[in-house]
Amino acid sequence: MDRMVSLVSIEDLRVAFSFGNKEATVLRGMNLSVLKNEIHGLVGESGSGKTVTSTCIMRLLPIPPAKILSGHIYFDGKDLLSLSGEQMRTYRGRRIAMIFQEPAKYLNPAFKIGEQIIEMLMLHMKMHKQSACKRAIELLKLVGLDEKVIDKYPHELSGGMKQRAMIAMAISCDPDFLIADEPTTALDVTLQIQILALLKKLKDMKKLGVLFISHDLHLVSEIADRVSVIYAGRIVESAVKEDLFKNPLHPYTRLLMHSIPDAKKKGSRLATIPGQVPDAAEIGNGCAFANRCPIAKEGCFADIPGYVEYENEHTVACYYAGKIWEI
Amino acid sequence: MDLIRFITRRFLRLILTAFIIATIVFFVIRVIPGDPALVIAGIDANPADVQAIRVRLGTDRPLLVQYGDFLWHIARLDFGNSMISGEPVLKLILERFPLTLKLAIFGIAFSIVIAVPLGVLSAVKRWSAWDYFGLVLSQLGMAIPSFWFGIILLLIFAIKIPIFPLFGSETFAHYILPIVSLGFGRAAIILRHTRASMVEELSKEYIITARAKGLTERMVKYKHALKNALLPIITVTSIELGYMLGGAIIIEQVFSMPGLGRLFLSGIYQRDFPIIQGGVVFVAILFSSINFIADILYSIANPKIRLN
Amino acid sequence: MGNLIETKDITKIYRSRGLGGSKHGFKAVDCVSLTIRKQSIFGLVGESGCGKTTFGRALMYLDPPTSGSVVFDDVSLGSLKPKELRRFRNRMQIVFQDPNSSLDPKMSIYDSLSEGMVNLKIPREQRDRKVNNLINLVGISKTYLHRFPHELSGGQKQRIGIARALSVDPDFLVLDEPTSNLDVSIQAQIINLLLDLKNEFGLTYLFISHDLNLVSYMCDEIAVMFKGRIVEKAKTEQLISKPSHPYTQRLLSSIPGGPQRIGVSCLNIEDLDEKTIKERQEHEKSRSACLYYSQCPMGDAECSLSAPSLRELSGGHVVSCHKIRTGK
Repeated sequence: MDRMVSLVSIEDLRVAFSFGNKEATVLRGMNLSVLKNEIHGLVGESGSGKTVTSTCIMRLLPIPPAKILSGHIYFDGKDLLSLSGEQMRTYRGRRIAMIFQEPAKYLNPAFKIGEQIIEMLMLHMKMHKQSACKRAIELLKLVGLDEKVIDKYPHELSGGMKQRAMIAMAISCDPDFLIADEPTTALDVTLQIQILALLKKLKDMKKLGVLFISHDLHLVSEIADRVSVIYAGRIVESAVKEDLFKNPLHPYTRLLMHSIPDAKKKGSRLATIPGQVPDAAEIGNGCAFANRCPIAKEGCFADIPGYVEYENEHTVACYYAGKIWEI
Repeated sequence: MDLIRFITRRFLRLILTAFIIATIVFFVIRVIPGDPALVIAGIDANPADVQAIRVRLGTDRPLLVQYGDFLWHIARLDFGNSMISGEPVLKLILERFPLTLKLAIFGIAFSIVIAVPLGVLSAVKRWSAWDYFGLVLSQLGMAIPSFWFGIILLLIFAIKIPIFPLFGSETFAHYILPIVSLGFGRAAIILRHTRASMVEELSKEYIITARAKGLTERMVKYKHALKNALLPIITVTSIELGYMLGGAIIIEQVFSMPGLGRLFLSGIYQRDFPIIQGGVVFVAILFSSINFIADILYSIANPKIRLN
Repeated sequence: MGNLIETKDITKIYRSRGLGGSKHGFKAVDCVSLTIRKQSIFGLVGESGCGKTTFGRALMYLDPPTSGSVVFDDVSLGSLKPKELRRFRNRMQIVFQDPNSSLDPKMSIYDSLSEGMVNLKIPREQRDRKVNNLINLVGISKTYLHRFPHELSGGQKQRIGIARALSVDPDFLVLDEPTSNLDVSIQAQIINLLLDLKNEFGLTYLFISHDLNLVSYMCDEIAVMFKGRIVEKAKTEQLISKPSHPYTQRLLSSIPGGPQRIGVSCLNIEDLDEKTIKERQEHEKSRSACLYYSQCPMGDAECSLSAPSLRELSGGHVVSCHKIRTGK
């Protein structure tokens, strides 16, 4: 991806964690880009490295035990990894914002919602208390909350309202890029769809670039323009949403889709992927998925497959991309 | 509405506590050896005189009758008169109480002033020189008995280097050494609690959010984490204040200050039942009230409780 | 095939004492009546707080209902004495949601699997044989028998949870969100396992979940719960093709990927605006309105005054709504 055109471009990012004397590489060459006015969905199961990726973009990884081995994260032309701590801090909240999974835990219980928004406005936008207050009310209304919420504490709000409050906080300083790390996982289904609609509306309104992280492939399909699938610290497939669903090229993606239950599949067995996601410390030199892959051959275990780009920027890392087999 | 019910229930509990303690004290001091009549009359007095004193004091009556009489008076807040001096107990207590209270309150203030900032610093700069300093200080504070510390302070700062006065309670300077010796030990506990509380808060998820918002490290630590970390300290402090009252009794002896403690101790030596009873009940009510006020303060400070 | 379980008007009220000693009653489950046929899979669907977990436990008398009856294979559980009830327990077992907290971390896998049998005083030899069978059945290697829970993955722990439930040869399993905490690919393995076991041993399941996709895949019959009450109940095909209650429709339309995934044609869901919802919530305070009134696009005066009861739409399809014209 041309790094000049993208809003955010992660290039060959490698991150390791050390426990005791063991070192495990959890990101093994991440490549991802997000454009302006685009929602890019990142789908992966637990242990795939999606949260490490998001935390790394914000440079909030605890170093040690984490270690950034190599790679670049370009944001608006600059490599975030080369910035000083203080410089990076000025980006956080102001140009890159993040919302998290469990708003109950991620909101400070001791401060009112208004206070938590106003402090950002005063810090980043140098606003005075009065105007910050007015702006906070506007923001709350924008995300569908009553202006009275400004004086409420997090525990006085329902789950859905808390998440909306967190979104209001995140967009308060007009960032260019929003990272949404599983923002609806802890919410009920009917609330989920409302939050997705809200994010979509905000993205359209402010031309945001959004990285939407989830383990739910179909959820991501509701909202994303492009989707990337991450497995064991590396993107295995990336495409425009419609292309990915119509024509999954990587065996992992294909199996994933067939293993999700719904009424139409009733009566037939769900596809399964034998084994489980490999431990980061135990991945060899070849393709990380090889030991679970139904079509893997000897070559897959020896060398890690590179990226091949197909039509419409549909990119896959697999020697046998697109091969159809009986599931 | 709920608050009133809450206060009422706690108040009733307070009364019950006072009653139970009064009963226990009443029977305990009459079981242990020592007859006030003998103390008053002197060791050489003849039995007839001692018996006459007993009749005057009322200690010749059956135990249960004395107990009934005692309850009757306590219910009307009449703690009786000192068997030795004849003065009303309540008057004696109220005269001396302010000094003890001052010691306890300044003692705890001193503790908080050294312990909380040091505790916060220890947590924020874990395993640094500050942290070890705090660790050593708290170990010392817990190991050193306050009265020994008081005597040492006297030796150094009142005798060797005569900055502070030796005894009495006229000026504020008289209070300084007692406050330090009282406060130092309890400061250790508050320090450890503060450190633990702060460490716990710093590991919570909302701290990640605070950083993701681009707040400065100072705001993250001293605004976001600290506010939550201080909440449990309120509870710890109130418990420590109670201990301080107890400690004050000993310190008053060391520094020869005419507070409640000294009144109490002499009452015990002289088997002056009304003083002992009155003193214990008074302190029990005081202790319960402090806990009660602390609970109220905590529920006001913690928004989760306040707004339910 | 007869009915294995018949519950009638199960109600569970939790009383809490406020600060000043006041008593509030919270109806977690309100007059739920279900019939589960032998060797069928019955799905109970609802969002968090709707009472489905509470119902599952009340059904098993783990947290006995405040009122109502549970008849298990023609025996009324409420009429049993505690000793008799305990003996009945091996016929119905439960598998919990969180594999991490449902196994005792201090017990080896072998111990966890044999505990139930120890209680039933089954001799050692038989126990060993059974444990070996079970661990095979759920697809875990025997080498794990002497390991401890923390050495297993989430999926493996959940399999052990299922094996443990089966160790006492039950007829009936309550599965309370058994795969919610698991990754998609592991979920598929567990679901396949559950279906295989059901077919092999002729089991009956109550499958509790918030995931309508999963429930419609697995279950023969589905009941939708909202705030402690059943709002709609039907055979799966009927519920999916003709969802009648507005809440069911809302649930279906909220499925990520669109209701087309599930085979439902487009649903018209209106969203009420905030003001209307608030106004209606005030009405609800009189507590006799339909519980869904405040969010219901079809709600009107009749709905604000009385709660509807379950009425039959057609052949086993029941709905609780004033606005739906029933066949009868």
